[in-house]
Amino acid sequence: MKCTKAKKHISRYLDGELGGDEKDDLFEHLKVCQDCQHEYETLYSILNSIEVPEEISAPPYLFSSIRQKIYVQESQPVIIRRLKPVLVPALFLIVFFVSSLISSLLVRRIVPQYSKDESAALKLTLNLTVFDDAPATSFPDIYNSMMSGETK
Amino acid sequence: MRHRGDKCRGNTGIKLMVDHNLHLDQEADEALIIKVVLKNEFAFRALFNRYERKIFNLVYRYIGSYHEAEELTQDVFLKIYKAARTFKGKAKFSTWLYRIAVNVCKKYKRKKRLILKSLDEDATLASTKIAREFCAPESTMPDKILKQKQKMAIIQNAVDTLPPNQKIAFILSKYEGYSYVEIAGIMSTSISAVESLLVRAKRNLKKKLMPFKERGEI
Repeated sequence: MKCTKAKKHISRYLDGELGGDEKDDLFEHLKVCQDCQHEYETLYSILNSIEVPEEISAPPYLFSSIRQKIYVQESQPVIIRRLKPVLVPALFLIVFFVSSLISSLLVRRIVPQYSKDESAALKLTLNLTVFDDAPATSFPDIYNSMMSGETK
Repeated sequence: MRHRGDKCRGNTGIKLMVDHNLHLDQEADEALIIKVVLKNEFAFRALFNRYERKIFNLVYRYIGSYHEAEELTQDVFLKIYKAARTFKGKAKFSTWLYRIAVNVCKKYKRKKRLILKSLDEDATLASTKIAREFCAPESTMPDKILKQKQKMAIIQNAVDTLPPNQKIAFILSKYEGYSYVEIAGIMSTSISAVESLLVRAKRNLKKKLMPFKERGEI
């Protein structure tokens, strides 16, 4: 028997799960393998030190608490009980879709989709007065050129 | 327990009902769970009385807190009540019950671990437990009792720090005395997986407890 198998068998033996030929094979191996013998003695001593903790009593009012919870749940209408697990995710989805819808409608109002003329779009949506370009060599035209750094 | 209709039946009715309840205590688990499906409170109470202590102790040994064990034991029995119709009778009722208890414990631990992700909770819990044991007034106890408490705390700490599946397998095997076949049924896994878990659990416990063993503390 190989040591890897023996170590598994040691665990099973200590749990009372090894019998018959396998037990005999294990003991034969332990006679000749000091490593596994040491492993067995160590595990045996550790497990022997572990005592089963004493059982403790449950609180005396446990059943009445359970009964109370059952009563509360059963007094809710069946439809609410069945919908409860999906209620919060459903509400979240509804809020998400409604807010997406509102924001997409607002965007459409602000930015007309089919207008290629930017100034016409601005006139329509923001009610701005857009000035036409100043005539050439007029004072505003020269002023604009100076500000934009163009030389004329 | 009396109901409205009993006034007409008088003492005979009460006696019959009491006899019926006593009879429930002798019925098999599988027969009782069928009655629980039909919302029979007495049958549910009979099952509860039968398994309350075992389930509470299993949960307490896994979770380590009396108050949390109380809450989780309630959750286990609530689940039994609500899911009674899903019991198909393929496994023993006790296997099914323990499986639910184990799953409730594991789910709770996972949830707790997510919430306390930033804290080294296991070490804190373990050291708190050991510290609790050694603080006054326990330190005024006779030496023998104090040594025993110290030993229990060291061992409990070592078991507490096992990975969840190893811990469950170890508790079911060592503390509850279940066989590999039964543990495999409870944990919904194979016998070889249970064997493997227990080998690793013992290896981990050896690593943790050997230093204490060598110092003679356990």
